[in-house]
Amino acid sequence: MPRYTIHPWRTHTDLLTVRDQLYHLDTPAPDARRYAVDRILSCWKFRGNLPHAVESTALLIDAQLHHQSQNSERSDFALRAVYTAAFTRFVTGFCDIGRSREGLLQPSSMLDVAKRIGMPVHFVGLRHEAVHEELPSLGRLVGAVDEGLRWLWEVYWSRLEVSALNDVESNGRVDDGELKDEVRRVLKAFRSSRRDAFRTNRQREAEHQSEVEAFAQACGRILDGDSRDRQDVEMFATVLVDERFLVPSSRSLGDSMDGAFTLWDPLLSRLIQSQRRFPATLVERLHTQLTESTVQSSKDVASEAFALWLLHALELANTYATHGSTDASLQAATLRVCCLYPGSWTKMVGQRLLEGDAELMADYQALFEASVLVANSETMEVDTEVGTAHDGGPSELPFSTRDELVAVRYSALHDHSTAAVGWRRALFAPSVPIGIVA
Amino acid sequence: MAPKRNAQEAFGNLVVPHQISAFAAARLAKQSKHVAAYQEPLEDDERLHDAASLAQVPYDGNHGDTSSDAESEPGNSVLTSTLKPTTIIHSPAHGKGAVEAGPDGRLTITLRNNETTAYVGEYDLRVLEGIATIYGAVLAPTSSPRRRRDGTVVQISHVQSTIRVLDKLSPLFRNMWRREDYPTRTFQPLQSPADGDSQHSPLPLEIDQRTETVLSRLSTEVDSTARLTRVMAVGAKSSGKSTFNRILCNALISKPSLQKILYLDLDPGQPEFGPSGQLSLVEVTAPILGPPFTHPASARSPNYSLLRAHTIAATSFKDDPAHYVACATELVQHADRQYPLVVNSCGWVSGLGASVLHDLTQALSITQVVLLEPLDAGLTAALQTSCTDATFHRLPRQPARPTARTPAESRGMQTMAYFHHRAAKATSEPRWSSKAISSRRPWLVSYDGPHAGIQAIISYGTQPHPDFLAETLDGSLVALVRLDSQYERGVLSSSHHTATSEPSADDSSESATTAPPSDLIKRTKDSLPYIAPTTSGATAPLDPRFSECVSLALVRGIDTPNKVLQLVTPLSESQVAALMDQTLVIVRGSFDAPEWAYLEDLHLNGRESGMETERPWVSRTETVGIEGAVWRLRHPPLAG
Repeated sequence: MPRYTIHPWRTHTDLLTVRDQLYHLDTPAPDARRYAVDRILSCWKFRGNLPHAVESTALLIDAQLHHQSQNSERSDFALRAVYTAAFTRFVTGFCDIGRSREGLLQPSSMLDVAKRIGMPVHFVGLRHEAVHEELPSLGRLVGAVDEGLRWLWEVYWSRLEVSALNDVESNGRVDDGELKDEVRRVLKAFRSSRRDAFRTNRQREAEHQSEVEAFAQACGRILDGDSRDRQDVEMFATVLVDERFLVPSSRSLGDSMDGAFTLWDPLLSRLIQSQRRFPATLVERLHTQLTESTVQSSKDVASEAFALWLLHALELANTYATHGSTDASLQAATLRVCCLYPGSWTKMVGQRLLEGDAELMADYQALFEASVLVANSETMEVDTEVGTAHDGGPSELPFSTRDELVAVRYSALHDHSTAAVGWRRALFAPSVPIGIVA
Repeated sequence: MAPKRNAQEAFGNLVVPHQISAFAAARLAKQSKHVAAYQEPLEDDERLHDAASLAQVPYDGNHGDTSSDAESEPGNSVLTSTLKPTTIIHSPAHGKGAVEAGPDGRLTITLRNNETTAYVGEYDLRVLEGIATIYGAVLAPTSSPRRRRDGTVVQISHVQSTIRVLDKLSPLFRNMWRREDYPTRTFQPLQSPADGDSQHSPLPLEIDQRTETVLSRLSTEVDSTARLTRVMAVGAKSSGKSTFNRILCNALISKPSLQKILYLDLDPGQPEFGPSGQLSLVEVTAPILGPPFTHPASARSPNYSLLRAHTIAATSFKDDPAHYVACATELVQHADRQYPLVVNSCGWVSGLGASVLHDLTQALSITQVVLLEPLDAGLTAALQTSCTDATFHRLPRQPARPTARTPAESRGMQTMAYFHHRAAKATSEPRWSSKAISSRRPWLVSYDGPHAGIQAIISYGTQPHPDFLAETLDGSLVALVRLDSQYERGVLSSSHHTATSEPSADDSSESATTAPPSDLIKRTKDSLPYIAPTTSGATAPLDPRFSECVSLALVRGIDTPNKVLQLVTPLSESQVAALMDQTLVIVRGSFDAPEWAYLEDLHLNGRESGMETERPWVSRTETVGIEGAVWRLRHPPLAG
């Protein structure tokens, strides 16, 4: 079982950046040290879990910056007091932590702890003096703070690894544009390979099957790339859907989509099987296509194609997804989209889904019909009753959807931008970790 | 077959009363104070005495919770047992068929006078005949109580386990419910302490003679003073305050004439009824049995109904004792004097803590003070001179019990349970959501523009630099506070972004007359609204008379392009709907970092999965040897 550490910096890169700023490792921007110190003391400290070494470094450097500042009001006492406070907190913290780590009944003296952890013993001596005797002279304090910073570099900062993770983040990652080109290249090649196969009527031959397999693997490699990022899957689906790979270019309204389905199914079904996130991402992309086309004209060829693809993708996900219950929730999500964005094609999709599934019918039919009505007559009153306690169980979805409807309509009343209302419930459960905005 | 064996075991654990505590005390002394309940401690426990290992440790008062000032949770620390034996375990003679196992795993137990029995886990307890007590509460058959001279029959049946969904989301909740010997049952008999695995054995709760005496005096007091009784137990940390308060509450609500008491929870570090940092007034109508995370109070809870709450946004009032006392004083105004009030004070009895206790006893008109001695003589004397009307009771402090979780861990569990708690429909039991908090649909709250859902962000304690407010807020816990509409003008001054639907011309003219045109609300470069601290360095806390803490929220993310905060709260949609037209502000302070929240989906999805995506504030730690006592961030695993 892995163990996890929570730290106040968002990524390891942030910590390394701060290190470089504190110790002047980068090209010295004049305010870089100030910025790094503020970030540590006025942000990371509040987030909790700040290692004492990081905090101490910031305190000591803050004292130095105070010394360097051109403030004429600064008295000798203030200067010495700031140095002293920073230094004593630094030393006391290390000794306290060391002592509690020992877990002895008879706690050892600070001096003993310092010896054991390899901290110069005169640090403890100076601390003792500052607390119990006269404040040490400025010269000694300046020297001690310098030495303290060197010691902290030694025991903490120098040991931070410029980790592999960091490489992935900054260098190892293939540029997004390049990756997109790669996706386009593979998809185009796949499409022409399939077309050729159909033209020469060898689509069932083993040779062509292995070609298809190779394409699927190529796509898999892109999706399994270094970062294994959700973004890769999203990028892939975006290229596939938004760049109209799925829609035959010479298509006219009412044409069958069977040809396109047959062409793409071998690839899509394999990806649905092998890529956990692919089905949901594909369906989401198709939703967006359907809902973003502002005028959902019943004459729109592309919208019709995406609506048919949406139904087909749900079917594929249903057939091939190996990841448990995703397909049912995908259908529900699609229905919610249909309710929220009433239009002729979403209506068609919604009706087909309801016809195909009795359970969905029970949950959604009333709502779906209401949404169609709403679309038709703007004066329609929406039931403002909000859902009672719900735990996200499937049977309660309609309630929350109704809430969303209320929120959406409420915002529509006040402003035409969707961000207008103060509180809205997100439409979908996020699939990204805390701290990431989907 | 299993049932028979179970019955035997259960029978073997029937216990006999008044066989007392030398044994228990000895056992306590033997046990280390802090019992490792994890197979994998979350705290870094390498005993490396070299600076490189220490350098990584935060120095924030939470380190080394093994020190003696750690407050344990007496009575519920080691195990989540809803039933505590009142005496040490001693097996009676076998035979007699005192335990019968029913078909669905339920047990029917016949107890003679003064016998006790103990089961660990979650279960329903029904008294069929006679009378039983549990944690001070007296239980009798609901229908036609038949007195039996020779004992009591109780029935224990298993329940649809609810809180155990949290096991999957955090190791903090694991290894707490004993072994899974009986998969069909949510409870099992308590093994005798002679068994191995003694570190995980719960200790019996003992209500000694002196406590009984004090309880009966308080009970008489409640009867005779027309219930104008306000009780506060005063004692150091781990002295048994919370346990005493629970026993007292349970005893009082067992009185047929009463059935209801009010609980003023003033311990922001380890509250009984809410997440840490919160002070609350709760109406209690059912016995308080499990550990605090099993019974969060909420406005909808039929048993522990939250009447009003304030937040100090910290686990200690040390930064602003005056605000703490003001909050407590305000809460008590909402207490119906018809019912006795039990005050859960915090265990800070020296220095500033002592003077605050002194202020509280007067501000809350405490009539009964229970001193858990030894206490500082100065404090006792000060309380006695200032509260001449109050009656003082003295009890010896209870021995500290071993705790399975550090105070910080307990707070984490409590906050986690609070966020997963689902407001129950009346009469039904509380339920917990098994979804990881990261996949809960957040509320999208705009923080700028005419329809902003929150008006300002206020920092209690030290204010972060405005440039870093967003970074500080992201992924942290905050409190949602509702302001009274009149007060809003004072706090937020001439904010032109009020949530009221008044026409804007009207708005500005009014604020010009009532407040100086200086706008207290400043904006960061991300347009986050905040109230800058005064020249004295601190932000004035919200006046509890005109504000109320509605709930905690987790800032799931900040969508700065759209100026939207993504908030996760335990509030139901209808509760949020009711808040939509209110003035809300966010209060941040020194809440613990919600580490549990960052890791829930990792724990839920099992090892290896999940770290392949970017995960802010989390890294994997390798077990380190002496030579390399630094973090090594692994290359992200290529799962699959």
